[in-house]
Amino acid sequence: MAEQQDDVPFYQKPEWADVVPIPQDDGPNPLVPIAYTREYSTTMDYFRAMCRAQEKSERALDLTKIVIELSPSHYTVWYYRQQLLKELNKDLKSELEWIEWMVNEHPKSYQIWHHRQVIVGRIAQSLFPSTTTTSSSTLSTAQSTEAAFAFDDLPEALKTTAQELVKSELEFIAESLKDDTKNYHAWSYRQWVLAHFGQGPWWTRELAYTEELLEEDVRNNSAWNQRYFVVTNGPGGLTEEDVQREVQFAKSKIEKTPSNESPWVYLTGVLRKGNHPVTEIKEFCEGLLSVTRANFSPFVHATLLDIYEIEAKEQRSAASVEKAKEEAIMLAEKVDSIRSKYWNWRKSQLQKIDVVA
Amino acid sequence: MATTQETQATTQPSGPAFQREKHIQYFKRTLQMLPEPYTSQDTFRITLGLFAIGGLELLGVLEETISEANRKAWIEWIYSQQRIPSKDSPSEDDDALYGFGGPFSGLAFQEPTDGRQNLGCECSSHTTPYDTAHLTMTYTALLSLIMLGDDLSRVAKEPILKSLRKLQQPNGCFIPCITDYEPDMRFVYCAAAVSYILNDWSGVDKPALLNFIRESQTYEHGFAQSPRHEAHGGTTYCAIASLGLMGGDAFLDQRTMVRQEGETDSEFEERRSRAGFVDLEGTRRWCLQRQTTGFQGRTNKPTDTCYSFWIGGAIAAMGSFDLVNFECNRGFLMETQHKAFGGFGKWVDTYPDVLHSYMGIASLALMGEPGIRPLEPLLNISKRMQERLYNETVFWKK
Repeated sequence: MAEQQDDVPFYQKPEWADVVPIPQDDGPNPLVPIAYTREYSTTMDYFRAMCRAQEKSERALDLTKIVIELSPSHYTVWYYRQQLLKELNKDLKSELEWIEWMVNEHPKSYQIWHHRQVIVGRIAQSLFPSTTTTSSSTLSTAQSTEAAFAFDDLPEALKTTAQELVKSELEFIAESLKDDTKNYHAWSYRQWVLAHFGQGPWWTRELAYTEELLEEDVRNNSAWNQRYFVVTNGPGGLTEEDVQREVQFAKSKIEKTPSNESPWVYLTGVLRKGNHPVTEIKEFCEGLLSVTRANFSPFVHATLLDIYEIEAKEQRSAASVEKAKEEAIMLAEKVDSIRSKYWNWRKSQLQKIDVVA
Repeated sequence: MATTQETQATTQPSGPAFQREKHIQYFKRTLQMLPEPYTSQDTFRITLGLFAIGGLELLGVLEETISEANRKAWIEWIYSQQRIPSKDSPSEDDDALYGFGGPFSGLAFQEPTDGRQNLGCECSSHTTPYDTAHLTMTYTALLSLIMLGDDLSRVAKEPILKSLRKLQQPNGCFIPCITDYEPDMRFVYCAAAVSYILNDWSGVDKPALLNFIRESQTYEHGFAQSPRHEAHGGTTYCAIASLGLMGGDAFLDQRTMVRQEGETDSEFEERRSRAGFVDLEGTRRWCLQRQTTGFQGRTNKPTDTCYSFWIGGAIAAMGSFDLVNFECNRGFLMETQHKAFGGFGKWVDTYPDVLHSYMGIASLALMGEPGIRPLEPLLNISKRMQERLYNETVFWKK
């Protein structure tokens, strides 16, 4: 994606002749020196000169791209580039194309994803001028996770624009996720897009998206986390209807893959958020005990241990303590022995429960 | 529940041996010169130095392998990365951020002459934001200075604390510097560690910080990078270690706290609001559940050497390291050692890198491996160096 097609380094071209490069002064005995290439150290010498002069020009903009491609985690070059893009009034759409290319090369770079967020935030500001996220400081603009606008209040034409923008961002992220369905930065940026553009038609689509991903890989914990994000942050929050639907959804996945941790934690998480006691799923868990494959799942037994322990405390029941102990022993000795020390500790805690005989 | 400090490995480990000598050579080579592929981490060079020095310290050979001349020289080099206010600039300079930064700036290395010591590059109001200090560099510089034998007397504390206040966000989180706006849990930890080392929390709004940490606990009970993201081993360590460093009520569980004698209802509620955990037991369980052989960083992800430290360290900070399965954890770590080069890779049959090599040693330190110094999990340094912090550095010693 570099503009130069020939092999001559930029600093040997006449348009750079007036610049006095500034060398890095590492002193006589530096800590952990790195074997830089000549290309890198010279490029950085010129970059230092641009920074010192705080030059705002096309050549400075070109240089930020070269530096970024050599050193994507450099912690000031992105800011410099963002300032230049603004001052030179550059076309942000082509910037988005370059970022897409960079994300493919360096999918795990914090800075690249954040740069996308800054650029998209600026595009949104220019399209929706009454947005609430303007900041008068020199800090990058896309800071707030509050919604940029209220979708329902937008005029029809702007509604279409908003939908297109959000759709293209979500598609960009989905494309990147195809290479690595659990890329933390991609998911983090996805949540920002949804939160920044607020409640709109894309939220119901997002629930379906998590379902698609879980069809492909029911063990994708990032998709489960996203699902939790959608159901608890969507319009109206988590309703009772949502709770029932999600409980059924999680249970159906558990029945398919009972030793898969993700739907178990999701299920108990949704119950808790919806103020339902975990003891509600006792029958479901006990039912799994007679399914051969499920009987070996540590999560069936761990959940039953939790349930029987709660019952023992609430009802002061010695019988429940016994059932809980059996589960702890099953876990320590048979189905989850790597954590035997933990399950044995849980068993010892059961002795302390105050029961009536 | 017993803590791990006194625990020794009681069974003779089977499988590949711990290649202590090879790791020493690996860290020594790192300090001489890092190969070209590390260029992409150039701005974070101080952190690489910390891992190498820290690795040698945990292996018990720091003073033996790093000469006094080098220790002194590297102390000077680190101080030359310090950004301090210039005498000319007004004290309320909006754009300047103080502390330590990357070495790429082109600021002159000031060789000490006539016994005048290197105080660090001056940071006048004309310095550009591109030369800025960075919170991670500040944290790693301070730790490195301590290990190299410096008493921190040249550290400009007040400017650092003032900068911390600028870096804290309304929601309690921290960003590392003005030019890199990434608010997340990693920088919460850096801010907490810096405050602890400087023995001064006036740079941090603690209630806001506590609130951010609490908000970042997910339905899985681990801690995410930011609220609503996925629970993750690295950020769980950062959250828990920050709570531990804050001390006091920060490390109590809101759900299990008990009223103290003579405490009124409202006093108790106020104290509860300062607690860091909504659910300590859930956090511990999530951490323990990450062990498959070594540890994974997130549910259903592969194991990786560094999580034996991030998750192991979090468990140790919660006082429950005795519940970890030592044999499986150690077995995995022995496999990720690189047989030819020394050091550790993230997986089996992977090239070593400086970060994973340090993490491998630190993880073994938590288990009391013979030949490795005991580790203090909250600050991630050896106990010996923690003593040095308390007894020999200017912000702590009596």
